Amino acid sequence: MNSPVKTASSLYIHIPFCATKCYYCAFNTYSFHKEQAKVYLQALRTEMELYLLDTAPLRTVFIGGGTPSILSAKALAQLFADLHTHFELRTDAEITVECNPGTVDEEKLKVMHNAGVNRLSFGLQAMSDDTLKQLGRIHTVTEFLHSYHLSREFGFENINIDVIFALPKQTMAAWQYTLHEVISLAPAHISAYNLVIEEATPFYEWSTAGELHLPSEDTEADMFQYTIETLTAHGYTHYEICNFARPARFARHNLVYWDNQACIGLGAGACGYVDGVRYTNIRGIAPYINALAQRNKPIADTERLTGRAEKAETLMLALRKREGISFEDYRHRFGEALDVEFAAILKKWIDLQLLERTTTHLRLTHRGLCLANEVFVELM
Amino acid sequence: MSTNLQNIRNFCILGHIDHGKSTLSDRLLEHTNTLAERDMREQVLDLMELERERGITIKATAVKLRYPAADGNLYELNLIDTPGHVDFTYEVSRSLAACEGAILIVDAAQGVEAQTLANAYLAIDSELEIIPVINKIDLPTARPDEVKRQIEEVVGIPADEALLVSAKAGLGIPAILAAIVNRVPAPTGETDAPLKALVLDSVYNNYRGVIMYTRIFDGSVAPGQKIQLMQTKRAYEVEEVGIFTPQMQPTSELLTGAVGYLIAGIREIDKAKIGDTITHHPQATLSPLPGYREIKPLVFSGLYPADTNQFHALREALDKLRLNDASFSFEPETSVALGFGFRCGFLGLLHMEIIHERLEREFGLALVRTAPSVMYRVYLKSGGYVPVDNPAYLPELQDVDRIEEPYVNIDIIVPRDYIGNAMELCQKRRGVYKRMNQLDATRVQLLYELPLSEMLTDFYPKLKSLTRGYGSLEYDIGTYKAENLVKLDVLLNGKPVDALSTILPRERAETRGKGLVSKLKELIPRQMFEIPIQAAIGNKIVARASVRPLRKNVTAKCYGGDVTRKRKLLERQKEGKKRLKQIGNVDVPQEAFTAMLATDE
Repeated sequence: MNSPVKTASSLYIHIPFCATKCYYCAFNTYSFHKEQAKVYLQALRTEMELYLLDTAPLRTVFIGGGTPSILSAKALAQLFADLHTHFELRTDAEITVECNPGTVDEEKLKVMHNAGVNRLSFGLQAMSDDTLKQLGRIHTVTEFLHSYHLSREFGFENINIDVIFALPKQTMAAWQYTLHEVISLAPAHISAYNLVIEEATPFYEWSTAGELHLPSEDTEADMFQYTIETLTAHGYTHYEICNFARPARFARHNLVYWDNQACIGLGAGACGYVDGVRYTNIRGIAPYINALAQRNKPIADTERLTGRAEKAETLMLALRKREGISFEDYRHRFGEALDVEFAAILKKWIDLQLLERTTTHLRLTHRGLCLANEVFVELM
Repeated sequence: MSTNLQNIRNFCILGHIDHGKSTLSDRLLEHTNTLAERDMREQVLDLMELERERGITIKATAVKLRYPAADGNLYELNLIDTPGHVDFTYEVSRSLAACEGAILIVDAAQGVEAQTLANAYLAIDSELEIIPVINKIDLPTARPDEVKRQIEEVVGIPADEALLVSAKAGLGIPAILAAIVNRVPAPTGETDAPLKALVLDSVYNNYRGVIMYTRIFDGSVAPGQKIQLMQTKRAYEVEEVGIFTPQMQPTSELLTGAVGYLIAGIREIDKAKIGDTITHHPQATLSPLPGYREIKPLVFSGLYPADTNQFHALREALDKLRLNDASFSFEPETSVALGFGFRCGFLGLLHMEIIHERLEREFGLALVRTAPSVMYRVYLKSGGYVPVDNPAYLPELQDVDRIEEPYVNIDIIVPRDYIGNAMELCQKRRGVYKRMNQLDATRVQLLYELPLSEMLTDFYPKLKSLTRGYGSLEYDIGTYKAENLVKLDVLLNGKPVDALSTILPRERAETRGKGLVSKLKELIPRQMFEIPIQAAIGNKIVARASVRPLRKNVTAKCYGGDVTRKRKLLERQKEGKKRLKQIGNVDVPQEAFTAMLATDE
């Protein structure tokens, strides 16, 4: 982590379309219409033009959603053409596309490969058709396996698989099965999340109505522990609370977030952090398109991050990394010594063994990983 | 102000909660054009925000209605609106003392309830002319004949001339106005005698000081005159007198029979006590009005700022609130667990809740309130007794000869089908059966003596649920009786928490200890370490449980898209934690301090 650079060298593009919405999902997504997607991509092109001056050569690009892979091969080709026209990409840039099983085919993979995409992220979530159905996912396990192997055949070696634990009615054994099946595929990267019930989702409604039978806090903690131990034993480095990677396969784009560095966000509802200002785009697709038709940046909200808020966010993000936050980087960024400024809080949590010091860093302990929010709340 | 005494009527409206008192007041104001239509709103006379929200009257108010009667005379009808809750019985009795008549309003569907009876008896004691009014006659379930019979048989007053009305629909209102003129006696009094006036309520105004609501019994009073209050024996000069329209409207004087207000530069509200007599100074009336008594708090609880830095803010707020309400008391106390706060005395549970709510709402304070307690009399072996209103201060039992606690006489009205349930509840709560009266074919009245402390736990809600909402309850203060009582202490993380102590009968202490411990286990959130909870009587642990350590509290995903949202979520959690009270290193929510109130036996 270094001082924030003024111009961003990372870019996020939001594709807010999905075939259907999963029951737990609170992301900004809408059902897919081919014609609307076409107009949306035009608006996206205009938005790219408005950010030309804010970038250095890009080190990371992440195309997320929604389901970017739901776009047609032609639309994808257009999107990447626009990307390369408007931005300079470093030769070693990491370019990730989020894919949903069942929406990728040979043609799309070919387009992505030719456009320089070198990382794919698959949302698998569970290795059981029953569970997938209960989550409102549209694909089966077989479809996932097909998409995954096809991607490997096309030369995509750097692939992430997303899985979720602490799902309704999920037993420890069911979670262990999912995890081991994923390990057997030997992906470069695994993101293992516990389910979070977000407001304004069907899961939220069912959970308030008491109809969602979620595992107990203890089971959830046990699942998390098991995940860390198992993945570590299989050669994955636990480098962020929920993220595990083979050596040299850390998600470089996500590290930009955890280091609280600048990143441009494009697309409906996307967020960016440029010049010390966090901004959030208009969420609705039509108003987003309308704003760009006027050649205005489609920004709904901005917040200039200074003082305690910047410190709080920087700490909250950096402590998510297994290595924690570097004392040196903190001093460099804020001109103050972390262990002096937060002396009382640090002492409390070090005494309670949720935080620990290494020679260079402050980081969460093993126990602290499970209880990170308890520490973060006090840093706010 | 030259109204002949013969043309004045002073009256009030009495009735059970929700039988339509406020609506009827509104209708009477409308019919006499007391308020322009644009000023009319529901519950006109309940000025406080809390009164409107809760649909109750806390402070008395008065309003003068001008009524041109059929006989061609213009009458001055003074409507005195009284508080309707048992906590404020004394205030009600003083308001009644200012009247010659009362409208007793009874719901045509519900019939006579406990509060109807209690209020009617107060009116009978004050020798008021009672006009029974049966309200809500337009309800499909109305049964006016049955209700008339109940009024005669249960209340014991003639009801053949009871008026049938619907205040909501505005039916039968002129008949009420006519009945007030024809049936309520005009005030009597000697216009030439020295001033004799009753303080029926008083409020504090930041600019004017104390405003006394008063009824003139003898003589008259005008600005510039010297007056004195007979209880406090202080002399003041009258600055202003006037009437309520319902806004205050100054007049040149208040004459015999009038109801109005009086301002005399009094700065402290407890110098103008409800029930006191105002007279001239120095040529005083010979005898004060009867019925004055000091109001004494019955229910006590500790109020502590959730944030210990707010102690002085709380003191200031209490001082200010007391300017308006002389009936609660407070004095500083210290709790090992909660720090510096105040022991406050209230007239009853509702009064306690109102004060608590007003402190938080009007002064922006976050407070921790301990469970309410009664005033115990602890007789020591060394002789003499100490009053104990805080269980934490109960002397060591080996020094105690006996403990007495206050009883109340309760009066329950229930449908026959629920007699069993109601009696069982009273029995369980150490009630002493006194009498049962058959009210009519379907309902009975049960009279018990009950320890007041049993009323402080969930007695009333239990009664309501055991009688499907039909049971109603009234009480008045009884005597002190000796009981076999002990103190139940709670230890959190091995340390006693004084604010969680309670005094209760020995034979129930162990069960209650177990219930309390499991309730606390539910209420105290899981924290960084295991928290043992124990209940103890003296040195003996009677129940234990523990809150297991928190194992997981972490946000799964956190990427660029929602950093700010995640931060705000954490900031809100931080605010939420401020509502927890830190005791030692354990965070305890406010509800824990009143956990012993839910009995769940």
